[in-house]
Formats: sequence, C-alpha cells, structure tokens
Amino acid sequence: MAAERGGSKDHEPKIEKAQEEREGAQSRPMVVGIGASAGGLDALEDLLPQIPRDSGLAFVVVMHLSPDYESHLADVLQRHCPIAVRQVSETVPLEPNQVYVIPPNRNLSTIDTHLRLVELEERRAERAPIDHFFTTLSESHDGQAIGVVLSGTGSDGALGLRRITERGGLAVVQDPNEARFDGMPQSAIATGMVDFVLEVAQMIDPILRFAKTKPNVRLTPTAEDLEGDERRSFDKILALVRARTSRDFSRYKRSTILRRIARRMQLHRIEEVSEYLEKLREDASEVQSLADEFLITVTEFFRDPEVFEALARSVVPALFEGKSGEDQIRVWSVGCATGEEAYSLAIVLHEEAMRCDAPPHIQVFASDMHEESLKRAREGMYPETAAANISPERLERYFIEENGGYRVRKELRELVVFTPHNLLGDPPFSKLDLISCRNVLIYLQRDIQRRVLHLFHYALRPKGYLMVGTSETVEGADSDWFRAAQKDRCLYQKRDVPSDLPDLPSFPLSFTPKSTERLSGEREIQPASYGGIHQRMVEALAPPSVLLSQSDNVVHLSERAGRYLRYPGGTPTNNVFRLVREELRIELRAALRHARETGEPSRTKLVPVSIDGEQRSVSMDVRSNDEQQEGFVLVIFDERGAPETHVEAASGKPDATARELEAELDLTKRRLRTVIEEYESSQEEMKASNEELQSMNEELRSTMEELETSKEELQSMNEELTTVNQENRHKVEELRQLSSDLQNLMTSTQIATLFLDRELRILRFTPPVSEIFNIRVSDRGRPLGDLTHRLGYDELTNDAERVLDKLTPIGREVQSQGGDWYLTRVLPYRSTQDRIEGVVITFVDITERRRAEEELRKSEERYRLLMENVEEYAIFMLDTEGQISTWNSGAERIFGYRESQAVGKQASILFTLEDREAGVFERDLEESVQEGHVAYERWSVRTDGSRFWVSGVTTALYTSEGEHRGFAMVLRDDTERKAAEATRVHFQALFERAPGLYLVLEPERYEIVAASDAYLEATMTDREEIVGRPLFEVFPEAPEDEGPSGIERVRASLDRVKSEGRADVLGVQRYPIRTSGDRGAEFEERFWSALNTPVFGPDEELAYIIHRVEDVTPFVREMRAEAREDEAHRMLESRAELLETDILLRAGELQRVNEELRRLNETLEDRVAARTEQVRDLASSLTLAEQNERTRIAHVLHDRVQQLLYSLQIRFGLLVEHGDPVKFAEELGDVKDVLQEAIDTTRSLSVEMSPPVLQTEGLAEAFKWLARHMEVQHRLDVALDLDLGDLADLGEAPRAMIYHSCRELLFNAVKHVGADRARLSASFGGGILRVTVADGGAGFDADAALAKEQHGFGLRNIRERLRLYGGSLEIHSDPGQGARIVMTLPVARAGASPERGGSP
Amino acid sequence: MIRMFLVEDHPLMRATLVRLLETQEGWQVVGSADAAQEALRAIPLHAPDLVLADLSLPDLSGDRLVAQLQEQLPGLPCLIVSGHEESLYADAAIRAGARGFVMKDHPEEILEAVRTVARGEIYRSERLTSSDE
Repeated sequence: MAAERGGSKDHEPKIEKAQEEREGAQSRPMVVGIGASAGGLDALEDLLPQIPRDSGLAFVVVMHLSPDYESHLADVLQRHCPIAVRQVSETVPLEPNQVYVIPPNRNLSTIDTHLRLVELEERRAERAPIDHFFTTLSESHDGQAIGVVLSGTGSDGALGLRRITERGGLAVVQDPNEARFDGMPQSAIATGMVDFVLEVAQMIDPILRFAKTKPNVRLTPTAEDLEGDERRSFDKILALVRARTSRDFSRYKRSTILRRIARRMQLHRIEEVSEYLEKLREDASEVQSLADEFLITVTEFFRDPEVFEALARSVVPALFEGKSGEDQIRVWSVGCATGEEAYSLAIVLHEEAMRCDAPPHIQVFASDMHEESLKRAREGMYPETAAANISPERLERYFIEENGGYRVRKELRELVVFTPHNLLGDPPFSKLDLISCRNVLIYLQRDIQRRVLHLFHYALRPKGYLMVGTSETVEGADSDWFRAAQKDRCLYQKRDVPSDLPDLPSFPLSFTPKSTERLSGEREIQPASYGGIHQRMVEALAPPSVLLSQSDNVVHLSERAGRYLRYPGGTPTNNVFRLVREELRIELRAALRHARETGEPSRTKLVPVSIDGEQRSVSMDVRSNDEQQEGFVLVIFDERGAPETHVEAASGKPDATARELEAELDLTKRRLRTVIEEYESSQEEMKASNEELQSMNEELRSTMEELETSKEELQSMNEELTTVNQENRHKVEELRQLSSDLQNLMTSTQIATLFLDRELRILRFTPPVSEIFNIRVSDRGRPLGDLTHRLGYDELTNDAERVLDKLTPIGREVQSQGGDWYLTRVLPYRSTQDRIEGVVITFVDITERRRAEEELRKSEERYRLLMENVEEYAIFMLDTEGQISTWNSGAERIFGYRESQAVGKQASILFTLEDREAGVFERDLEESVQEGHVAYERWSVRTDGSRFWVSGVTTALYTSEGEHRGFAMVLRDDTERKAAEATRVHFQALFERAPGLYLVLEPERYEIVAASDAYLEATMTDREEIVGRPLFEVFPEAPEDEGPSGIERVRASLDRVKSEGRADVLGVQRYPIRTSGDRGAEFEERFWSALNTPVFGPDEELAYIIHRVEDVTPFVREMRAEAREDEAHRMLESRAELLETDILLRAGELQRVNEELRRLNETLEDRVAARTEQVRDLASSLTLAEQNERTRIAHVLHDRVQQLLYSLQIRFGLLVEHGDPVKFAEELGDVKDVLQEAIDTTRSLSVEMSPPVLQTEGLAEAFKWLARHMEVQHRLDVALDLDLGDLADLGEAPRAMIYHSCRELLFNAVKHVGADRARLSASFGGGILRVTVADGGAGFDADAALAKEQHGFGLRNIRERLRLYGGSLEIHSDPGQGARIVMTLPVARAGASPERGGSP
Repeated sequence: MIRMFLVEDHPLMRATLVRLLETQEGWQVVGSADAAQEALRAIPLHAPDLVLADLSLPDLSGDRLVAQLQEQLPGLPCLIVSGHEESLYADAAIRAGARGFVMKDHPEEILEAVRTVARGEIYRSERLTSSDE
C-alpha cells in the first residue's frame, strides 16, 4: 500500500519526465504479445488473418517451440497473415505492421524499442518464455503493451499478463471453452486481472480499440499538480470510490491512481476524464473494478530499510532470547498484499535463526483480504525490479533467478503461511511474538484503529512487538497497551497490562458500509445535544441504574448507581456480577435471565443491603432494551429505606424452625453462590478455550490452504515432468535415428576411423580399420596400445595422448608394412557440449596419390635435369606477358645472363635494339599464339651488348584445358654457321666472278666442284649442268677425235698433280665446243692451254685441284693465217699436220721445257709458271677494272635510270587511264619529279665518268672538282696541295688516266681504309709530274695489297696503267699508319702517247 | 581480293608499282620490303596471297629470294618483276620456284601476270629475249 511518502520538492522535473515518457511511449508502436503453446497454432491461424494491414501495431508471437528442430513457424504463419512475418534471429527494432516470431531455444526480450534474444533458462521446468517476454514487454512498453494468451497447457503467460495489466496494458485471453488446451487460459483468468476472455474471432476488435484510444490523462506524481477540471474530476472519482467501497485512496500514490484510471478509460474507449466520471456514476460495478484496480499493489521488499535494520538489530534478537529448538517464533504480517513484507520478515528472522545453535521454529502468518495478491504472494515470483532493495547476498541466499525475475527459495517460502483474513472480522492469530501492520491503520478510522490495536495487544505474547508504518503511531489511550520500543522506527512493545478479551467473534465491524454506518451510529456521542442534557437531567433525578452489555458488562452507569456497586480486589472488571453488591447478585442474575429470556421487564423482591453501615432494602427493575439494541439491558435500583422492622422483629423472635430453615437456606445460598462462582469461572475458561480453538482453527485453515497450494505446485510439476518425459522420448527417437545414420555413415565411408575414449580405449571403429589393425568387435574397451597394427607408426599412442593433452590435431603420412601409404589424422573428439571425450583417429589410404606424386616428382626432376644441362640450347619459358620465368644453363651460357638476372625480365632484352623498336618480339609472341610456334633466325644481343646470330623457335604453351600459359623459347647460337656461310658465299662469288676460266676439281673422280662464270661462258655451259659431275663426263672425247687426244693428256696431267702434288702445265689442246647449248648444234674448233694446280687441305692432303684453262684459239688462228692458205688448209685437214703446227710444237716444246725445267729446277719452274700467271692476271686485271667500271655504269643505268624510266612509263600509263583532273595533276607532278631525278642521275653519271672540267680546264681544276665531289658524295675531306706550274701540255689520255687514278685512290681511302680525310698533292717539275695521295686511314700491308690485288682495290691496275705511260707507283704504308701513294709520270713531250712498256 | 607483298629496292619504283597494282579493284599491297632479308622476315607475318619481287635486290637476287621463300612457305605464288629481258633470268627464277616473270616496262603485262599467277598458272613474258636462241 503505497502511501505518499517523502516531499514533493522535486515534483516539477517529475512531471516533465512523466510527460516525456508518455510521449516517447506513444511514438513507438504498441506491441501485441501473443503467447501460445499446445493447440496455439490453430488459434494463431485464426487470429493473424484478422490483423489489418495498417494497424500500426507490432505483433510478437511467442510459442513453446521444440529446442531441437529448426522452426518454420514464420513460414507457416506467413501463409495466413496479410503482413510480413519474420523470425527473430538477432536484435531487431520493433516496427509497426510486422509479425515477429520467436526462434527455438531462445527467450525473447524487449529492450527499449528493440527485440532481443537471450538465453533460455537452463532448467526446462523454469522456462516460461511467454512470461519472460510479457514481463520485459510490460517494463519497456509501459501501458503500451497488449498481452494475448491462447491455447496451451501449463500456466505460462499468467504472470506476464498480470505484469502487463499492472503497468496499464491490456490482457486478453482465449475463451477456455474454445481453446484446444485450456491450461494457459485458465491460469491467466485465475489471476483475476484479465480484461477480456474472448473467442479468437472476436479478439482483434478490442485490441485495436484499446490501441487506438488515447485517454486524455496527464500522469503527474501528486494531485496538487492537477489543475482545474482535472483536479475536480479526480477528486470526484476518489470520493465516489470512497462512498461506494469505503476505501479511501486519497493518500494513494497519485501517478499510480492516474495510470489505473487511464487504463480503465482505455478499456471503455473513453478519452475524457469527465466522461469516465459519468460512467462511474452510472455503473456501480465499474467503481468496484476501479477500486480493485487501485488495490493491485506492489509492496516492496525491505520497505523503509532503516526500520528493518532496527528490527534486525534490536527486536529480532530479543525475540530469539531464551528460545530453543522446541519453541516457536510466531509473526503475523497484516495486510501482506503480494507478500514482499512477509518474506522480508522471514528473511530477517531466518538470518537470526542461522546464528543460533538450536533455532526456534519460525512461523510467519501473512494475511490479506485480496485473494489475488495472496495467490501471487504464495507463488513468490517477483520481477527483477522488485529486487532493488534486496542486498545481493540476500538475493543469492533466498531467491532463484527465473524468467527475468526472482523466485523465493523453497526454504524461505516454507516459513510463511499466506491466508485470507479479515482483520476486522476474523479471529486473530494468537501468541504472537511480532505483528507487522504497516500502512494499514492509516486507512482506518480512529476508533477502529483502537480496536485493532486492542486485538493486537491480545494476540501478542507478553513483551511481543508491534511494527507499524512510518506514518502511523500508537499514542494516547493506546499507549496503555504498547510502549515505544523504538519510536522513530515505529516499533512498539506490548505492555504487560491485563486487558479484557476483545469481543472478537461478535465484533460488529466490517467493511460493508451498512455495518460501518450502524457502528458509527451506535458510537456517535453528541454531548452538546438537548437530548443528551435531557438524558443527564433525567438520569440525575431518576433512580440509579446501570446499562449492561450482552456480556453483562457494565457499559454505562447513572450518577448514583455506584452505591450499589463495589470494586472487588483483583483484576478490574466490568462484569456486573463481580461489581454489584454481593446481596444483590442472586436476585439480579435471576431477574436478568428472566428479562433476557422473555423480553419482559422483571422485578426482584426487596433485598436487604447494608450500605455505608445502614440497612437498606433494594429491589431491582431489569428491563431489556428495544430490539434494535439487542442485548443491552437496563438495571434500575429501587431503594426503600430500612428493612421492615416487623420482619426484623418477627425474625428476631427465636423460632427454632425458622432459624433452622434460615440456616439451611443460608447454607444453600452459600453453596449456590459457590456453584455460581464455579460456573462463572468455568465459563470464563471455556470462553478462553474457545478463543484459542478459533485461532487454532484459523491456523489449520491456513495450513490447509498452504497444502492446497503445494498440491497445485506438485501437479504443475508433474505436468512439467510429463512434458520433459515426452521430450525425452522424442530425443531418444532422434538419437536412435542419428545413431543409425552414424552407423551407416561409418560403414559407407571407406575411411578407417577409430574412436577412443579419454583413456585411449577403443570405443568404436569402422570396418576398414581391421585392414590396418588386428582388431575385432570384442576388442572394444581395450587400450589402443594393446593392438598390433601394420603401420610403421610407433608414435600413434603418443600422438593420441598429445592430442588429448594439447587438443591440436596431428596429421602424418605413414607407410604400412605392405607398402601402402596412409594419411593418419588424430583429432580430439568433441562432444556436442564441446567437451573433449576422447580421440578420433582416421586413416585415409593415399597410396595412389603418393605414387602419383612420386612419379610426378621424378619426372619433373628428370625433365629439369635435362633442361638445365642442355648447354647447346638456350631453353627458357616466358609467361603470357613475355616475362622470363625459367632459365637453363644453356641460356646462361649463350646469353650471359645468370638465372637471377634473367628471370622476371622481359625477354625482349635478348633482342637487338632495332628489332625491339620494330616490335619483332611482340610479333613473335603474337604469331606463336596464332600459329602455335614461330621459327626464326636473327641477330641477338648478349648481356655484354655483343651481337650474335641465333636460330630458334618460340612455342606458345597451353594447359591441358587449353588455357594459354606462356611461351617456351629454344635458341641456338648460330653465329659460326652464319659466318661460315657468309664466307663461303663471299669467296664463291669472288671465285665465280673471276675473269679467268677456272674449274675446281675434286681429286678422286675429278668431279667439278665449282666453275667460274668465265669458264661457263667460254664453254657455253650452265653451272647447274656441270657442277657435281666428273670432268670427263661433262667433256667427253670430241666426236671427231680419234686416238689419244687432248682429253687424255688432261687426265694424265691431273693424275700427275695428284701423284706428285705439284702444279702441272699442259700444252695447247684442241677441244671443239658446241656453238650453243643444244645437242644438235655445230661444234666450233677451239684451242686451249691448261694449268692444273693442287690445293692442300689443313692436313696437307690434296683437297682440290684447280684446273685453269685459257682459250688460245685466236692465237692459233693467227698463226694459221700467217701460213699459206692452201698449206694451211692441208695442215688443217690432217691431224698429223695439225700436231705439227707451230702452236702444237710450241706447246710441245713448252711442255718439254716445262718437263725439263721441272726436272732441273722445280722452284724455277714454279716461278716461271707463277710469273706467267701474274702477267696474265695483270692483263685480266685491266680488263676487270674496265669491266667493273662498265658494271658499275650498267648498274647505275639499270638500277637507277632504268627504274626511273620504268616508273615514268607506268606513271604515264596511269596518266592516260586517269580521267580525274585532280589525280591527273597529281600524277603529272609525280612524273615531273621522276623525270627530274632521271635527269640528275644521268648527269651525275656522265660527270662522274668524265668530268667536263677535266676536258676544258685541265688537271688542276679537275683535282679541285674531284676534291669537292669526294667531299659531297663520300664525305671525304680532301686537302689539295697543287703546284702544277705550266702543265698545260699534258695529253688528254694521261690526264684522264691520272685523274681516274686519283679518283680511284681517294675512293679506296673511303671504301677500303675507312678514312675521312685525305691529302692530294701534285707538283710538276723537270718534266716529271708527281701526284701524291695520302689518306688518314689505318694503312695496309703494301706488298700484300699489291700481291693479292683485292677486288676493286686496283693498285696494281693503276701501276700498270702508269707503266703504259712510262710512269711508276710507290706505296708508303704500314698498318697502323696512313698510306701514301706516290705516282710519277714523265711529261717529256707534248701529246705523249702510251707506249707499251714492260714485257709480260 | 589479292593481297600482295612487294619486294623492290628502288623507292620510286616501289611507290609506282603500288600505285599501279592498287588501281585494280580488290588488289591490295599489304606490305613491302626493299631487301630480300627483310622480305623473308616480313612475308610470313603478312601472309600475302602473292609476292612480287624485283630480280635485282641489294642483298639477294630475286630468284634466290623466291627459292628461300618456297622453303619457308611452300606454294606461295611469287612473281618476279625485272628490268632484264633475258629469258635466262626468267628460267632461273621459274626453276627457283617463281610462278611468273614479267618485265617492268609493261604495266599491262604486270597486271596480267599478277592475274595469271593469282589464278594458279605460270606467267612467262612473251617478249623475253632468249640468250640461247
């Protein structure tokens, strides 16, 4: 009962806060929590379709789901639900128009505006997810929550619904008649706090109505904060409640009252307070409902902690004092509401008891009128917030955390007996040590307070304690009964004053207004009334009288009635029979009984009484009251002076019989009095016993009720056990299934698997294990170490132990004795609870893989070795981008890059700069991708920059899937081959172009290896025709020849060369040749002179024979022409004559001379032969030079002029075809350019051949022109030093000869010596012209130059020409220095003509 | 469509020949070289339908070039274009594997020769002077 406590200093902020809270609550969606269990799905399927799409509400479905299966509840419900349904899997914000569904194995909470999942309670029996959710919902959504409980067994949801209602939310329950299982609906309804019990079909309307109604009520902490109409309406409501129920809530916590009013308004869809007031006036039941609503109270644990502290410190120890295990400590908590206080007391007492060796038995009686509160108290389940005042130690010691709240532990619960009890109507508990009655008295009026205190005084043991509320006191008259033990702590101790027994059974007090009114009427005293004055005056004058109560107690005396009463010793009493004078007692008793029984007034006879020593006679008139005041009796005393004397007199006469009778009467009277006294005392005792019996009965009743509760608990526990059992059965079934699955899995896997327990004993194994281990089914339970196996794996047991120890798996590849390979893995065996329960060992047969790996490794190794050791070839790979990825030793050798230098580089580094610029590498790659591979020969560069010739192949590489992976390059250094080829070609060309008639013969069969062009021309044969064929096959015996002929001699000569190793000269031979290549062509007579020279190879063996012939036909013919014609004719006719011709003679002579000479002096003969050849060579050199010049000119003509002319021709052709004038002009422009070039070319050719300046200006000017020309054409800087004097008369021919010689020398300087400057000096004196050409070149071996007479060098040629004019040539040159060539020419006479100088 | 490759050392002549050849619909000179070695490198890259080569080239004679080309790319039609009228040259060229021999100074003949060779036939200029007749 929350009386207002504490100041209201800080109420201002509270208003704001309350308003904020309210506004905050309204901005979030109202949440409808739906709890369902067995049979709930049907109900949900009926309920959800009714939800409108735009309700603005969030729905949360909490069901009891199996913890072991995935839930498809959301999917199932979505089919029936117009708005989105989702299973909560994480913390989510609550959004309107959504249905959220609880997942299995979790509790759902609302935190702020979010849904959150929390762990389930460990014990299944404690799980109550609906209660859990509703409780959190009620706390987070104050008054904005709606709880719906649908079909289900058990009682989950009931507690949560109560929380929701308590906080101003709505509680709706499915009609138990409709529900498939009515356990949950019934439990919820039993709380008495359900607003609607409805069939599912009708549910949605009240929910939506409740959600939409927004009562216009401001929640403020105190009534003073209300203003105007609000305040008036509020007061009126409380007055109405007070009037109708006699409960005064005006001092009740204001905000609670307002919230409760608001909730009632919401239920009735009323938004204005005034409107609700009307409703209250019209509907009495609503007033009752509202009052009940107010009475829903939440008291606190250890309310006013200081009071409890004082209690525990001083009172409780006093209670325990002197008590032993036999004794009891009895405590009564009056108005216990939901039991928090009773439990608080029990805790304090229990704590004290724990300090005793032999603690007394503790019994706490807790009573309240509100049945619902008691029920909750009995359950002992409190929300988390209730625990705020409980110290952690106490929480730990006396409570169990459960469903987001705390449940009182059994041992504490057993100390407390909860019972419905009307303090003012039912008999009290007795022999109590402590009564706690806090915040009850303040609701009672003063006089009733007093009776209650009297009652407490009665019920307490001597020195028992009373605890009241902080705003309550025991003062004034009541302090007769209690003294303050700790006044400021509201603790009082019973005074040991006797008090009469409160008249409890007939206590006419009740909370019904009627009785209250009656009681008030009876007790009303209005001393100022006329009636009162009148009564007192009447009283004063009337005979003395006393008013007796039903129990014969004196309740009122008239003024003089006291003279008939006398207080006896002992306990003060009001009992009239104890008070009235002894003489009057018997008469009074009789009269009283008569009056009570009959209702008639009765009158006693006169009784002599001695008053103040004076004998008086008194009679008593006894009248019962009217019916209204039943039980009250008025006794009027009537005093009549002294007793009659005559009687006295008469009695004064001794009359034996009378005396005897009187004595006997007296005795009888005395006896009667004793009997009466005994009766009275026994009656007193009976009364007391009755009281006790009633108290005991009450206790028994309470205990009965307790037992009833226990029975219920047992029943619900039984139900839980049944559920658990059911679940267990499912589990067993699942396990069986799992076990069978596992069995199948283990059998089906070919993987040998061993399961070991923590002691490494065999638990299970798969069949393949027996292939490795000698194991049988009966080996289960044997230690691993006992088993023998075929594995070379001695550490197996150690590994298993290590895995158990470290929990890190170990994998090894081991080989069995049979050569098979196994991948063994030792893993810890983790149970589903993540405990390590042993070890699992698997053996996977990897023999194949190992073998394949081994093969692959070997093959790779072989391949790698092969590749690396190839020295002749550079073999390397490129990636797709052309970067080098491998590099073999051949590549290192060939290119000079080490592997580390090459790998990662672009392979284009191996290409020449020009190839790189031309993109040759990229083209190679491109082409090899297109064509598969590309082969090439080209220059390449080494790391030192030097070039060499490579031939190679680049191949594109593909994976087996066809993915391009890169390139392989295989290259070879072909420089030598290239060089050899070049040399061969060079010399071959030189040989073939030589002017002489040469054949190179192979010495075995005299096969023609090579032939000079001149030879071919002279013999009119093709090279292809003769090369490779034996000489004598090509040139058989001439058809006309008979007998030994020239050919035979040639063979003989060749044979001689072969046998003697010396050159052999043949005389003139006749050998006719065909005039054309055709077979049938005419033969032409020819004469030949031949020289056969041996060529030795490096091993000094005869390699070739050079067969040189000279056509001497003209010479022979000349000889013949000189002879007489006829004779000649004759001579020619006869072969003998022919043989005798001079020529033949001469040849024969020559032959003979040669023979002789050879015989005489081989050296001399050689020299002669060589000299002969030299002479011939000189002549041919001249021819050659001339031929060269001709060739050059022809070349220029063909290559340049002719090409230009062809171009012109084609262009003109195109011109003719063109109709387009623009093109025409363009073409014409081109043609003009071509013409110009042709003109330039011809001019330069003619100038070069014979500069005009030479013709017109003389030698000096010609030299100057030449110098310029060399500079311009050949970049040769020619310094001139001319001192020609009067050299005007030099003839044209020598001038041209000198000029051309100089030109040739300068040209040689450029072409053969590589000079860039030269000096030309000419002087004339003493008839001698001296011309010196000095170059800045490298110089040369002059003798060698003259001897070899390289092609085009022409020194000998020049010398020969000079000799023709009587001049000479001197050469001053050494390799390393420049050459100086001095030409001298005698200019003796003008127009000097060439003179045949020098003989061959 | 005839894709041709031209080997000709004289730049002006080369340009003129290109001009001449490309007057024909669908003919295209896809590449050219001024020397035999360069031609040997480039021709496989361009993969022409036909090669026109001058007989006299600075590094290798046209017929040698043709012979090497036939080794590298057997069957590639080659036409020798020459200023020489001697049938000797023509025979040597055709022996070396050329499919035709034509004189430079007769544009019409050049075009005709290309057509003939492209058809797969052999073209031998009728105006050739025979040195052995």
